[in-house]
This record gives sequence, C-alpha cells and structure tokens, in this order.
Amino acid sequence: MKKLLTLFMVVSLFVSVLAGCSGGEGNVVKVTKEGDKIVVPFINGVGGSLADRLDKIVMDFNQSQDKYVVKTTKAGNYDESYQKLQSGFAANNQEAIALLGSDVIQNYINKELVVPIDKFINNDKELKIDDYGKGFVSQATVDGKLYGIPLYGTTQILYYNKKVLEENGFTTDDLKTWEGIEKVAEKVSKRDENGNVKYAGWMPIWGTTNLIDSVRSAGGNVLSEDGKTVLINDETWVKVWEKYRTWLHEDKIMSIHTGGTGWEYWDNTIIDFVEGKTLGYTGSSGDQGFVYKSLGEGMDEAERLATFGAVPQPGWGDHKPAPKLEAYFLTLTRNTDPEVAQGAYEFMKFATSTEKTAEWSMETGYIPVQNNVTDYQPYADFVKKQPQALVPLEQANKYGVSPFIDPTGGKIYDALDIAKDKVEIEGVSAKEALDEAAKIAQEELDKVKK
Amino acid sequence: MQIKFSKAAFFLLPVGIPLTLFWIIPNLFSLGISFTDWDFMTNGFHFVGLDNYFNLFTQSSFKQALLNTLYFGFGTVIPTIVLGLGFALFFRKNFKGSAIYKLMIFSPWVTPTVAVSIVWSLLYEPKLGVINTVLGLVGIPGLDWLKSSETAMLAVIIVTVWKLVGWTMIFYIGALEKVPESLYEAASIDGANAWQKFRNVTLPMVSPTTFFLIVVNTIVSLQAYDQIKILTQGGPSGSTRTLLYLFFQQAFEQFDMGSATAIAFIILIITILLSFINKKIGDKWVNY
Amino acid sequence: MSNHKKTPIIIKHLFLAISSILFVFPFIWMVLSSFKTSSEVLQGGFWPKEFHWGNYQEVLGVIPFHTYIFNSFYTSLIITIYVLISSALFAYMLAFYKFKGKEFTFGVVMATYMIPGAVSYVPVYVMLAKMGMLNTHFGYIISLSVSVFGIFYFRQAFLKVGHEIVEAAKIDGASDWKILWKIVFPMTRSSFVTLGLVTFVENYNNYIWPALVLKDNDKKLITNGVADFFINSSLGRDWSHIMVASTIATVPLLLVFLVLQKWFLSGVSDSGIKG
Repeated sequence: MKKLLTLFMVVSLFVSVLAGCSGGEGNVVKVTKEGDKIVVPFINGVGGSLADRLDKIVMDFNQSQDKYVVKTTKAGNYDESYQKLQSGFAANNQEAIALLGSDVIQNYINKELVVPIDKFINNDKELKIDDYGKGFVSQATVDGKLYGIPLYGTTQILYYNKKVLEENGFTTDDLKTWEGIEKVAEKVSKRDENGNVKYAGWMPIWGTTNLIDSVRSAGGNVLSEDGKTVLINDETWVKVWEKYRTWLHEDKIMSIHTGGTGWEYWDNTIIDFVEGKTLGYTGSSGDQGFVYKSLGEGMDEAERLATFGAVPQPGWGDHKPAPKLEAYFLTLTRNTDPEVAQGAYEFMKFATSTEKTAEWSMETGYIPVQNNVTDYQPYADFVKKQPQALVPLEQANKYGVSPFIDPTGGKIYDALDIAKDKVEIEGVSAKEALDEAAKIAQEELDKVKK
Repeated sequence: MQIKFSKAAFFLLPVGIPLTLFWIIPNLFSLGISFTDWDFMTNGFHFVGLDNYFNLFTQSSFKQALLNTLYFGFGTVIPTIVLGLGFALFFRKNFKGSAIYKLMIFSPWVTPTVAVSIVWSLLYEPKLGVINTVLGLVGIPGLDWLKSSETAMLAVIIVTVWKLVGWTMIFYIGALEKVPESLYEAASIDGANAWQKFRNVTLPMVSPTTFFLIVVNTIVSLQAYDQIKILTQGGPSGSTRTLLYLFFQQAFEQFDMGSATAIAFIILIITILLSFINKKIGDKWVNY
Repeated sequence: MSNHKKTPIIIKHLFLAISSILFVFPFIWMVLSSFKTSSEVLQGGFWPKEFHWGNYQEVLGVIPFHTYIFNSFYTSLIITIYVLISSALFAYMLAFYKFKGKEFTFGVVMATYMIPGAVSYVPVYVMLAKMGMLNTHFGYIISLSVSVFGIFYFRQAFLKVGHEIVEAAKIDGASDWKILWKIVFPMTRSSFVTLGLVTFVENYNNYIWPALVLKDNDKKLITNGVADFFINSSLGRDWSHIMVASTIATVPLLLVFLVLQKWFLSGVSDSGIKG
C-alpha cells in the first residue's frame, strides 16, 4: 500500500511539473528573426494543389513588405494540422497563425487557445469587418468578440449533367426538392442484369455531413433547442436516412463510393460523374476545378462547361434547404509576442482582401469571403464565363446555416459516422442504426452536460 | 559477482538514461493523466480518480473496440503461428531452392506498412480489384472486403498476417534445426507416423519458441496502427477500430487525453493478462 | 522407387512456389502498376498496356525522394548502432551480474515493452520541445535510442553463453568490456546481426512518430514522404504516381535485405531463444 501511495505521489508530481511547463500565462512563444524580419509562423492543413496557391499568397505577402516574413508549417490535411498544432500548444511553441475550420474553432475558443483580434481591427482604418460575409463572421464570434478572419468558405452543392437532364425531359426545377431528384433518378437510372446500378440517377457523397444537410433541409436538427436532447432518431431523421437507404439498396436508382484511402471515394465519384456514369452528385464547392478541368477522361474544358451545371442543394417538400456553410478562419493563437501578433494580423488582412479572395475563389471554386467580390472586374468577367461559380455563393447567402458544433468534442459525430456506414454501405434500416447512435450520443451528451 | 558502482553505471546508463527519459517518465506521466481531465493544452485540470476508466466501460465505442481488438489479436496471432510453423516444417532441412522460397515468404516483413497497405487497398477493390478478379476466375463470388463491416477486419488481418508469417517462420526454422535427429529416429523405431512425430516430438521441442512468438506477435498486433489507418480508418461502421486506433482518435481528434491514456493502460493490462495466461498454459507443457 | 519418391517432391515445390508467389505478388503488382496510367491502375489489370517510364521522372521531379531516403537510411543506421552497443552493455549486466534491483529493472523493461509506444508521444514531444530538439534529426534519434525488445533479446542470447565461460575469463583477469566484445560477442554474433536488421527495418518503416517530430521538408523520412503523397494529397490523385512512390519506398530496403539475407536468415536461426 505504501508503495502504491509513493507511486501515486510521484505520478502527481510529474503531472504537476509538466503541467506547469506547458503553456502557462505570460509564457510567450519565442520570437525568431530572419535577418531584420520578424518570423510569423503559420500552420495550415490545406493539401495538394490548393497548398501551392496558398503558398503563393504567402510569398506575395512576404514580398509586399519588409517587416515580417510568414513561414508555413505544412500538414497534408486539416486533421493532421490540428494534431501538430495541438502538440505545439502542449509544448508552448505553437504557430502564431492557425487555420481553423468552423467545426473546431469554437472548441479552440472555449479552451482559450486562440485569442480575440478585435483590438487590431479597431486600430485599423482600412479593414471593415462588415465587408466580410456575415454567415462566416458569426461563426468566429463568441460573446461579441471576434476570434478569426475567414479565408474561404465551402458548402455542398449539386453537380448535374445538363444534357442528360434535358434529354429525359426534366429541368433544374426538378432538382429543387429531394422528391424531385428521386423522380428524375427513377427515370434516368439503369441497372444491369444482376440488378446492379449501371447508370446512377444520383450519387450522394459518402459521409455524415451530406446526410446532416439533408436532414436539416427537412426541418430536422441534431440537438433539441435547449441542447440537452439528442434528436437523431426522431421521425425526420429516420425518414430522410431511410430514403437514402432505399435509393441505394432497394430501388437501386443511386450509387455511392465509400471507404478507401483519404479522398479516394470523392475522386471516384467525380470521375464517375465526368465519365458519364451518373446524372449528378452532391459535392463540394471546391470540386469545380476538378469537374471542369482535371478529373476524368474524354472531354476538354469547353465541352465540360457545356455539359455540366451546378445548382443549390434541394429541400424536402416545402422545407427550405439548409446546407451547412463552413468556413476556414485565420486565427491568432495564445501567448503570441505583440510584434508577431501584429504581423499575423497584417497577413490575415492581406490574404483576405477582395483581390486575393477573388483570385483564390476563381482558382479553387471555394466561396469568396468578401461581399463586394462581384464588383471586382476579373471576378465579374470570370463568373460570366463560368456561371456555376456563383452557385455556392448564392446558396451561402440564401440558405447557408452554421455547421452543427458537437458539444462532446466529436463523440456525437462519431456515433453518427458509424450509423451512416450502416445505412449507406450495409443497408441496415435507418431506424435501427439511428436508434443505436442516439443512445450512444445521448449518453455522451449527458456526460458533458452534467 | 560483485560489481563496482562506476562500472555498473557505465554498462547500465547508455540504456538507462534514454529509457528513463523517453519511456519511463513519459509513461508515468501518461498514467497520471489518465486520472485527470487534462487535455495537455489548457492550464487547469482536475483529478477525476478512476472516472476515465469507469466511463470507458459504459461507452459502446469502447466495448466495440475491445471486441475488435480481441478479434484482431486472435485472428492475427493464431494464423501467423500456424502458418509460420507450417512453412518452417518444409525448411527443416535445406534443399535446392529453399533459400529463395524463404526469402520470398519473408520479404513482406521488410517493407514499410504504409507503402504496402496502399497497394493492398487497391488489390481489395470489390469491382475491379485483382483479388476479386482472381476469385471470379475460379468461380468464387467476390467479397466487398474493405467496404463491408463483415469483411473489413478479415482484410486487415490478412495484410497483417501476410507481413508477420515470414518473420515467425524464420524463428521456427531456427528452433527446428535444433531438434536432435535422434529423437525422430527413436520415434520411428517406436513406429510413430508423421503426425505422431509432429505431435510428440516437434511441438514439445519448439514450445519455448512458440511461447516467445505468441508474446511478441500479441504485442505487435495490439499495437497495429499503420495498416488500419490506411486501409479502413477504423470503418466501416467502426468494425476495424481497435483500442489503439480509438486511442489515437480520442487523443488527437477529440482532445480527450484523459480518456485516451486510460485506453492505453487498458491495452497494457490486456497485454500483461494475455502474457500471463500464455505463461500459465506454457508452464504446463512448455519444455524448457 | 524413383517415381514413388518424386511425386511428393514435385507437390512440395509446387505448393511452395505458389505460396511464395502469393507473398510477393503485391510487390510485383505494385512495380508493374507504377508504369501504368492512373486509370489503368484503378482498373486493376495485371500487365501494363504500355510502359510509362516517364512516371518515375514526373514523381522524382516533384518530390525529393533521394533526400527522404538518405534521411531514413542515416537516422536508422545511427539508431541501430547505438541500440546494438547500449543494449549489449545493459543485457550483459542483466545476464551475468547480480545486483540490487535487478529483478525490478528487468520488470520495468518488460513492462515498457508492453505499453503502446503511442502513450508517450505527447509527453516526449513536450520534452523534446523543452530541450529545443523538435524538428531535428538529433532529437528524433535520441528519442528512439532504446530498444526494449533488444534488451530482452540479447539477455536471452547471452544467458545461453553460460556463466562458466564468463567466470573463467574473469579469473584470467579480463575486464568486463573485453569479455563482452572478445568472448560473448563472437559467440552471439548472429544475434547482433538479427537485432541490427530488425532495428534498422523497424526504424526505416517508422511512420507516426517522425510525422509528429520532423516538420521540415528536408528533414522528412521516406515513409512520411510517401504518406504525404497519398494520404494527404487532395482530389485528383494520380494513382500511377502513388505506385511509383510506394515502389521507391519499398524497393531500396528489399534490395538491402536481398544482399544481407544470408546473414539475416541464419542469424535468427542460430540464436535468440533456446529450443
């Protein structure tokens, strides 16, 4: 017993000592210099070809002035960048600027890992926060304080094949409700002799996000208004999820790509779409570059522009669509040296200017963050040629809602993730899968709320 | 033998210092964390006693992961041992070509799990993947492999066994070489058939190696992560989420360090438990 | 007579040949796929319609694989050498001396072996940061400079040498250092080869920990380079390029193994555990 007690004492000591070491107040992250310039470290999880574009903005900033130099820590995807950032916080050497998504920013704010930037904006006569999209800014505001400047937004929209739609006697009006899409899919889908889908009437993208959007577009929600009850097995949820199951597994009018490594399922969905194996799919605003340029074979860009269109997400029946509007924010982390913090702010302002956000949006398809972006001539010219580029922006302004923030730090999402595999992949009845998920989610929610 | 302190220090410290610094202290520290609600980043934390541990047992994701871990553990270790010994029996004596066979069977162990798992993920493709194509040629209907919760774990196990068999085989070859020929001769004189020789001579003689390999392979399988990360990310429906994978998710995705470290120590307890059972069984029939 | 004997041999060879081919099939498929086009890889066929040698050039043009491979080789080599020497010293003490707390020390070593390495990631990360050794190869190397398996394995091998030989050498006046390297080492040489290769391979294939510690592009290891290339790349990946990357990560080690296999395969065989 005595030994056990000693062990416990030793352990507590370690915890206390290390806790003391990491990230205490007034424990400012060390400043480094490169020549005369102050280094402003920046971490983001923007991957692939988008990363090159972000690099260019950083390079432009570094050349635009001679006081600061922004240095990027790269991570291949958002999750990995959060992991690295988290380790940085633990060691109190985290980057000054962190790119955080809507899904995690609240969590970081609550833990006081990122700090308000109001004082910089108040001292600045040029930047007006009202110029930024309201739907974005509100997601980074807590108790009247602003914790981040949006760099870009994203939302899920519908991509469809204009020619096939027309040949079958439908118009985009038929894509305004899920019931309409069901009707279209029934008509255009084809099956082989074994009953497997040969031509899909639609392809939902694998994932919980997509299904939550759909439920919210039928008037449902994840939690009750007081935030105490999990609603994920109520009538609306079961109805919507059961529809997806029927489409995929019984009627076989739709198909879905699942699993694989990283973005494989997403890749395959776009390729199927471009190569004419489905009428349409639910994808991200950031898919435009791939749909209209690089993925899949057999068509050049002009042909693609003539063939593929985009429309906002549909609602169910009379319900208004409620797709989530997600944003990625440039935030300032805690304990940053004032000079570095000023540099960080200068970069945030530079990277989100009308010109930069327009260029970024034209290259990637993501939603620009400035309201006046359409006044910017190159952007106005661009959307004239590529009208689909305005669809995400239009959807964001008209219907966009904030993403669901999981108060349990991910355990409700986790339960839903398991349920969505059961329904989308295995064809388990929605009621069964969601009842189970609701039970787990409620237990986890109760733990947090008590 | 008696020993001077300075000499002991010279021999022990090159391991002792890094062992203390990078293994013992951090692990004690993590053990401490498992009794708190700390997330490694914020300043405040509370001691919550054994709450993290109790909470785990009410979590269905934990229960599922625990079962998955046992499934994965037994599903990996038993075939690895059986196949490893089976192949080794072929190589008890060298013959023409045996070196090449050994080399080929062993080679998967040498390669990075991350790199080969991506290759496997393509081989497993249900529609056009090589495995289902070959199964189709011999008239067996293809499986969904990684895309179904019923077969995903099997697919991960196959990759893991594929990597471990050669390594296990090599140890068995070494053990078999040391079984005195005279024992087999004696058995032959008593009129034993091949199976009886295997059962009464080979198995008991290699039992210490079996014991060692079960322990090592159990530890390796409980700590498997890379292949799961690449092949399934724990899905579909959480069917390949092992305890270690859950640890990673809770620690690095959900910031729940207390609960995550509690999982890690449960993995340790399971390892010790399994080794202990293995030893108990071993004491009965291991022939030292 | 001869017929009677030959049939089982042919069956044996047939069985072994098929099994061995199954074991190396993923590699063959990987190498062949690295010459295909991206969509050909996804179609899952076997032989490329046409060999696109350019794939290699394209990938090598984007990713500094030679830096990654060099980093992996040299960090693994240093770790291996240190692990061999330090584990031998430690195991020598455990095998041939009695000292206070010996049982306890061995118990601690075994327990550490059973704890998943991941448990200590964050504390060690914090510690490296405090010492200013994050994102350095030195920090990475020292954090991996102990092989608990190595201690366990050497102890077993040394025990087989036997007390008598060591005692006899002692009486002749040899120092422990000399006994270890002049008497014990030659008798357990194959164990050294085995542990050396095991340690090298494990470190070369290490993935999660270096991903956390080594951030700069010029410090990354090959596993992380490859993983970045396929896990993290965004949409529109070129699968043939991914196969090229996998091939580049896999083949050098296979070649090293091929060269050293004689030592290695015999190494495990004549040592380690008795029985």
